[in-house]
Amino acid sequence: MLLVWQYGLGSVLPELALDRVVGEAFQYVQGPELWTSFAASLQRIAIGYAFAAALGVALGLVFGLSPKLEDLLDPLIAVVRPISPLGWLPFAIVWFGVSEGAAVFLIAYAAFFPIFLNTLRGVRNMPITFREAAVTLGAGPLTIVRRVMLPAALPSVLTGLRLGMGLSWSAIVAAELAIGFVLQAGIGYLMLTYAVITYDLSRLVVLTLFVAAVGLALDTALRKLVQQALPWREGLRANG
Amino acid sequence: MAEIRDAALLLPSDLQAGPPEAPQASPGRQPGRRRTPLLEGRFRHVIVVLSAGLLWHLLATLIGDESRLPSPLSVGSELAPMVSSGELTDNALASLRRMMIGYLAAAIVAVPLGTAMALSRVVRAVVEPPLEALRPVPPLALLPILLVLVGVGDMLATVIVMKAAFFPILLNAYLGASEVDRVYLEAAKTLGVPRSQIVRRVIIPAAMPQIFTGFRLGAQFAWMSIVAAELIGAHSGLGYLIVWYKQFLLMDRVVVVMIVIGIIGFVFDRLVVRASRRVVSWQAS
Repeated sequence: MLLVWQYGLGSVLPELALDRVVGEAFQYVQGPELWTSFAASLQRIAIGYAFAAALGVALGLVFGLSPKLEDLLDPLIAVVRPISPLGWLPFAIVWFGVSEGAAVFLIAYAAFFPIFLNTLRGVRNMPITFREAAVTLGAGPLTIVRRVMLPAALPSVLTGLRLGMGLSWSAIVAAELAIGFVLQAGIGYLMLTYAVITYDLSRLVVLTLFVAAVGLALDTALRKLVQQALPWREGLRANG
Repeated sequence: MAEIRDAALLLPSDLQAGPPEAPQASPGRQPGRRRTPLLEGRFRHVIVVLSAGLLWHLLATLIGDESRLPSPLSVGSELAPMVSSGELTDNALASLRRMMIGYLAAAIVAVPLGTAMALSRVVRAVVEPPLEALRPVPPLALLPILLVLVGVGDMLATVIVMKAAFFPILLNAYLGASEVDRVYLEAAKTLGVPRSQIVRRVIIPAAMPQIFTGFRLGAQFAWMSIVAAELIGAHSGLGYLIVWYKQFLLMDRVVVVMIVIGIIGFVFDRLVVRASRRVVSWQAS
């Protein structure tokens, strides 16, 4: 496979040959440029994601507790959800200016839906017996939410959080591609400069792979975290 | 392999989410109740949408700045001129065309490949490493490279759609085909189904529900990413239209486009669900 890359692709587009890309990569990870941009992107994610997580879990619980509410707002959610985060870009700009705020808003929006919907699903899919048992044992409504519903919904909530992270990572790259020249920082901005100013293909390949690697790393980290947080799920996975 | 399996396992329930397939019970029909309350009747959704519109209108008049939050009335009045000038329809068609080409291309490759990966160790060993390297690349992160390689236009957006739709379909086809109940296979053998037909007559039908989950997820991802791709990398399409109107601060028109995007995405999803009900009609879900 690597040979095909080196000699097949490399002969068509010499900038993409394996040795060029690998060499470039080694050189590049040593410089500060990549890491400062990465830090800028991560910072935006941290803020936007925190918003989304808080709002998504809270609203998910509320909607999960009230099937009626979900049913009523269903048509609104169904139409808003397919609008990709970048579709909100104009409003993000009008509301927050071409700024950090706009990028953070887009991330929060991107991460919100998976977190919200998975929390909702988690609460909804809880066997009714859990709740009835708790009521029979004399638990009050607050105790039920905290001690029964949250733990029961937790696997689903964590899945939502993990997916949300993945989406916010790809949203930040896209957002920085779109308004990068104003933000002047971030991975997407770096890619943009190499794509439309210097046409540096090998560096673009390095950056694209870097984006993928970070996404994968974030995903794996959260996956590990989930396993730690939910040791009782281990058996389930082994069976599944 | 655990990795790929796990991802596919998590995907369907995670993202299909959205509305539950069937409205649970028809509310407000208990005997003894004389009148159905407004929010439980058949028109409850109409009422909700109207009150959301009213709320939006109030908020817009409160803000009083059409370029920050256009009112639903001005949004509504923009729709007719946008359609009659052809701006909206032409660009929607451009997006739809790219979407269909990219999506179909992804499906045509991904379903057989996923099935083949499930059936043959050799295929899997050859195909998996490059695929696993490509999988975590977000579709839009391909945009800069594509800008350099193919430039702004149809090709770029179509490739991004393909990338977005490909992996959900592939993973679900793989998963569906690799988890076919052994009993089916053995029954087919016992009944004398020739080896050459087992794939077509047993494995593919058994994997169908899962394949459709992939189709559904793929359509969602594809539609989302095409709009984003057009925002940067095209001179037509709904995503491009958004940027275009934004430049002239025609925010009411931006909203029209956003709503159209939402509705098309929703309709797509319903179509896939309906097709799956038809094809896998034996599956009660």
